[in-house]
Amino acid sequence: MNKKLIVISAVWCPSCLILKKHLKKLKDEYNLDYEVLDFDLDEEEVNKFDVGDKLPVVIYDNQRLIGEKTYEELVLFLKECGVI
Amino acid sequence: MKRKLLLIILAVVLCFPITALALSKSYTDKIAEITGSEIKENKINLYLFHGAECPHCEEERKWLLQIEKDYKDYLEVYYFEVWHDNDNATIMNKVKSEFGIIKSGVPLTVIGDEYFIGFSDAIGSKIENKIKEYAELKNNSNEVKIPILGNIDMKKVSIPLVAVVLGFIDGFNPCAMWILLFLINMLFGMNNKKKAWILGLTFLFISGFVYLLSMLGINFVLGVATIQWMKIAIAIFILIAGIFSLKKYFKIRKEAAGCTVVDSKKRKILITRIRNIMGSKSFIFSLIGIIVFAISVNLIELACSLGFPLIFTEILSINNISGITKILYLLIYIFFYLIDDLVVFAISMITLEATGITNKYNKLCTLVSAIIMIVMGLLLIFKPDWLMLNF
Repeated sequence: MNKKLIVISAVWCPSCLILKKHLKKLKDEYNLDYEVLDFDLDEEEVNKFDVGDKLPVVIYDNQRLIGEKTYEELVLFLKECGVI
Repeated sequence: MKRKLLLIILAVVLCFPITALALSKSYTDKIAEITGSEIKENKINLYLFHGAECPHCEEERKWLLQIEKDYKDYLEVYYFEVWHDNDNATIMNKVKSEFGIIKSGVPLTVIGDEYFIGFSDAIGSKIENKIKEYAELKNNSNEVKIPILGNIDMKKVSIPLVAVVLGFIDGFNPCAMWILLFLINMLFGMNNKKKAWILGLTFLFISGFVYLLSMLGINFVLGVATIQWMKIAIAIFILIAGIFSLKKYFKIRKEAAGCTVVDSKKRKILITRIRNIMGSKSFIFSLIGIIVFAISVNLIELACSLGFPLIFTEILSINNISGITKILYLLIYIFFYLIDDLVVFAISMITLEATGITNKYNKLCTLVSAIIMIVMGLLLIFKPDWLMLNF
């Protein structure tokens, strides 16, 4: 199972842009490390994760956070995963 | 800052009719000479050309009896039976030539320099609206006095307000937003920022222009559609669109907010096309490419939000708005339809970082749109006169 934090987003998705801002803040604050996969450009990689029809998706191990979330919701998820 | 700018724009738009649209169409009796009728001081002449056995004529005659009572101070009605009276039939033919009417049939109603063929509740509303419009030349009952701004005709303010609200809600329709965001990302890759701005603004301008032409097209069809069942069909279409929207809301209301991935094949085709356009070494080719792309995309996406343009053009039609005033109202609608796209584009290009408007309110927007469409659909069927914005 993947132990790296994976973020699946698309350039055409406004919710992904909002997540991007949250992640940037977390990177500065917690030195968070993550890999971003583009839904259209990294199709082969993305297909491995069996993503549904809602973006963005944050994946850590077997846990997932799907859709647009607030900064607080993202922090809570990452803390529950033990990433931060 | 953004909020202040929006408030200023809103204030300018709402004050606009006071300065630019304050001229009411003056009353001129175009056919008094042909009919040989008298023009009485402070009175409007209404002419009805009808057939004795025609059921719609009978309906209009009954309706006119009440109208004559309601507007007895302003109105003088002249009746011309044309199926049994040859002299009257000749007069009607002269009137038709005067207006360039090719269509045959009765009842034919003439008031001022306007005519109406056929009769229905909607046409009745239009005729009554016309009477009020002319009567207001002598009795400005719609005017309210507001400090600093002076006398304001509420009717003329309310239509731009409807344009602002409907255009703004329609603009939140997420159908075409993803294309703009993808385009913005491609524009970031361009070295020449001036050209990037030109291409982006061209895309938005053409999108607005296609929407304007589509709304004018709809307005034209509505103008021709004087037959009652066609009006009802349009209202039913709006009602069904509203019900579908409500169904969609109940489907998505428990889903997480975010971007829904739809139609991978279509998305890939569009992405490839944008890449090809942006990848061209010739700027002219890119410019032509973006124009063609904007036209095709917006014509396809129009089906995604046909309900709101239909509602707004129907409101213009019911309120007898025509000519340059109609274009101005449509432009206000389109400006507010495009405002979210313009804000996203401008902020992204200035900050050189793609900006997104949250999808959290999409569900609320779907619900509000559904309610508006259902209410408007029902009003258009049962109470079209309620949409005459004369307080």
